[in-house]
Amino acid sequence: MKYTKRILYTIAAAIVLCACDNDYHPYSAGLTGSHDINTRNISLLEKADIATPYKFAFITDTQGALDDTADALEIIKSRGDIDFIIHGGDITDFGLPKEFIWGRDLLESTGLPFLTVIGNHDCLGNGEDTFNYIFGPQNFSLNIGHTHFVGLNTVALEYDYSHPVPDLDFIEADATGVAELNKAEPGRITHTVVVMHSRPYDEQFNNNVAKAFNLYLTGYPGCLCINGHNHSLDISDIFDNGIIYYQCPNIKKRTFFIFTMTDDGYEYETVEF
Amino acid sequence: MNMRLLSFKTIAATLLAISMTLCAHSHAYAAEPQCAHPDTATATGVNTAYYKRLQKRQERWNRLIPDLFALQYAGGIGMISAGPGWDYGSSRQWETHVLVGFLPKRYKYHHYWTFTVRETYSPWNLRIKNQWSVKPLTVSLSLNSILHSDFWTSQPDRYPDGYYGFSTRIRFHLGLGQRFSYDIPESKRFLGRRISVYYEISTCDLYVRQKVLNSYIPLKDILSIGAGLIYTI
Repeated sequence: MKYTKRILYTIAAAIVLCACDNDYHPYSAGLTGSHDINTRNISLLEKADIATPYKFAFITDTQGALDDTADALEIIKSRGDIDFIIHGGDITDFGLPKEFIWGRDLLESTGLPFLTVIGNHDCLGNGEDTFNYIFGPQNFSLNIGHTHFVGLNTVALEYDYSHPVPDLDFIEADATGVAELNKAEPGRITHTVVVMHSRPYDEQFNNNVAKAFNLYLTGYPGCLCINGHNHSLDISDIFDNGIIYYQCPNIKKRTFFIFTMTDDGYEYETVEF
Repeated sequence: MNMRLLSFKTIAATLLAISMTLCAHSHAYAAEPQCAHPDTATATGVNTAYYKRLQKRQERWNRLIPDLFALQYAGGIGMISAGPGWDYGSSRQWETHVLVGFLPKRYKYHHYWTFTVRETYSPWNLRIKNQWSVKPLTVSLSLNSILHSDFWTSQPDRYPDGYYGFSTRIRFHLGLGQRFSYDIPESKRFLGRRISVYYEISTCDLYVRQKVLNSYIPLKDILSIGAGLIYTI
């Protein structure tokens, strides 16, 4: 009888433990903590009324390099002059829910607002569902000071032409919105920062629309692009039309960008740590 | 690419084949021959070899009758997984479970079905008192497949060669656990002779990979707990 009770208690304890840990499967783990982060941080940043000059950090491809990511974020946090962070995608290696949570928790530990675009690894398995739940919209835009920020999903190869990636309709409507804003209030938006994971002529990009993509981007005032994906530092004017693509190496290379948005332009620096 | 596909299927088939062979060699009891008719055999005097073969055949097929049924909650292979199993070895220390699991719809995920082949080894079986016994350590290796088109065994053709060198569909899980069993007294048996409860703490290949490369990840994040019932016939 004594043993029966002991065993029953063990069973009960095991079931309670299971109930707490709802990691039913590596691809259907419990998504605890904050979600819909892009939506929340967009409204937070727009309401914050950040005065120029301000600075933001760009880190990307933090997949499977959480220790390096933690070091980078510690530098960003301790500088004290960074207003927000943009993550260029590939927060995960395998699109696992737990990987999204590890990445999110690290970014949240800085206490700074952050925005994230989707990378190709983030789409693996049901990773896109996890991204949509934790970060919210894949294409988004917001205004901070005189700069318009755009985040785009550009990892077309993951979709096999089943979705409009990049979504040119979104870009057209967004650029029209900026034009109308400037019409109503001249000089309201002077610069546009377009953030994407993969850039034109990468194997991930839908290169059939690379030129169309470029054409649509010319609809934005003072456009510059920032991307990741290729794990190397490269700064190019891909289409020879003044739209510079700043390509940041993966965090494993212990490098990230800091951009300073000023009244009449921007400055950028590469931080190696 | 096809090589990879082949290798996963080969591993699964080999696991099954090994367990079936072990199973076939270790069953102590021989099944009663049901097809051989001794009168006919002796009357004609020529059919003995045939009836022996029939008997052997029947014995072999009888070994495929499951020895147990398992039902599991959580543990990284599904919310609920259930299926038959076979036990074998000199003290039935080896078990093979074939489980079908279910993952309900949640967050923005679909619902998913899963399929698991699990091999369990328990080195000790200690009798506690009367009908109660405990296996203080069970070690299990599982091959789990998530059955949905979002997941692939090897990368689809649209990617350049070697773009993603892993499978999102197939997971290997390694688990350690304990099991408590109650032997149902002979007079009270209805369908089975033993009922067991177990729990298992497990992790999977991708979690281990990330933990090894990232000291940031807390150990508890890569572990999952499962608990279940085993009904031995």
